[in-house]
Amino acid sequence: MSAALFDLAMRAAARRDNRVVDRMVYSPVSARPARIAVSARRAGRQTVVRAVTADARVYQGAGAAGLAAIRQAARSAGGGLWVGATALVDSDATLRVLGALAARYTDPARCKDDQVAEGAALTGWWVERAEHPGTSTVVNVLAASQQRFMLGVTPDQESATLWRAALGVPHGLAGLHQWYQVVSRGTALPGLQAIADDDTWLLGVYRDAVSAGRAWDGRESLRLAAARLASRCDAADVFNAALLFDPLVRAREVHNGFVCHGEVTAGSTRQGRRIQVRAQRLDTRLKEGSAIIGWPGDPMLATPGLSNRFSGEVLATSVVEGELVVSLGGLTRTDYLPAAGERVTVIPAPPSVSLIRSRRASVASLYRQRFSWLSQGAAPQVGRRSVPLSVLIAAADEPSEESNVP
Amino acid sequence: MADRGTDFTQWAAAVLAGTGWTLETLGAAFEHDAGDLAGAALADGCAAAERGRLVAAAQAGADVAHCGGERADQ
Repeated sequence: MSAALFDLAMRAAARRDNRVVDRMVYSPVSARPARIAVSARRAGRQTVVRAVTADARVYQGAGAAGLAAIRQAARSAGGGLWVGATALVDSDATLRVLGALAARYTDPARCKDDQVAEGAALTGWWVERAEHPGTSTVVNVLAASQQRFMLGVTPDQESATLWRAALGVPHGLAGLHQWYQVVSRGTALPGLQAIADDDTWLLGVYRDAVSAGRAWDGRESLRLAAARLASRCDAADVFNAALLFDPLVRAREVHNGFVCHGEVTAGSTRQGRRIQVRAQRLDTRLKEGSAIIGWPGDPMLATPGLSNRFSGEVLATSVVEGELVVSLGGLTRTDYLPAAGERVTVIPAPPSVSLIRSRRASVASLYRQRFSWLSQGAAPQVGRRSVPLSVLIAAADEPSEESNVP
Repeated sequence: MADRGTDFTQWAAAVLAGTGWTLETLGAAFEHDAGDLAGAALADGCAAAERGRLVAAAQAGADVAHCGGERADQ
């Protein structure tokens, strides 16, 4: 609730000063060097696609020709199926329409020519990766604007038209390129490269399928399915951690409990390497065993370099005399160790990209081995046992259509 | 057509209901009492908006400088 009040204060400032307020220091979008603005709409039984390059070349077509237009625009921008272009859109509806169109041309054998097959694969790649936060494949400029900026209107009054006017973006599809320039101003959030690497990896999977004349949504190996699932989970973790490196996001997340800010009451010694932090807010999300990083100063100060941070784990949390006391231990050897009386900011430790890669390599290796426990996993057997009443009640509350889909 | 100013005032009043704060008193949120979580959130929001303004000015200046023009703040 108090994060909503934080947002309200920002909206009120935007309204009072009649300006767009920045709610992030860093840009939340990452994109590839080649970008095309794309729109898609249904006209009767046809899907009409338009794609515009940064130098205003327009490609369009209906149905299969629309997919060919996407491929031509991407190639023209320097990002065909071998490189991958970023799609700039201003609505999720565009991707839904494109996804439905591409799903009819997944098999190269059913496509009239290579242009349609490649356009469909590129579109399928956009649609799949768009579900991964921080992806470089699709930038929804409207959603990115809402993440990065704040307008002085109520949330339900925000519209693409209003955002265009506020940011000085011209109308039309070509305007999405200028919109992207505004929303990507400055430096991108650090740490998004790992997600872009996954984008490139999946593009290779799609490209290999098309090159081999196979459908890119065909039956996949267990190894590939596991890699896709891992990529999905890791993207969310990596992006959420990247967001907490932005000082303005941190200032907001104090009020959601993701950032702990308080005074060190028991400082670290070279031997003990434990500290206690006392905070006024009780609603921390730091849990026992969670890995953390921290540094001296307020959440809104710039994130210091590695030598001025400490890292460790949460040993315990408790409430003493109406204040939260967080015990942190296992502090690693760095140049900086917090002393009593200092005010510090503590956030969850970001996931280690090298650990993610190492874990994925191990899993892939196990799937490749003929006799590993993963590749030899026996099919689950049907088993029956009594189910607690509370589980039955919880299951009955679930929406039926989606929860029963295998 | 709905009056955006009136809408905003009504919406803000609904969000602030029960906190003891109003749109008019937001500027005083920096002096909130210890333990007033709503006041703390409002004060941080106001501070973040100001910091955001400085960030935008600096980035706009950097963009102008990058294009070979004069800095906006000079």
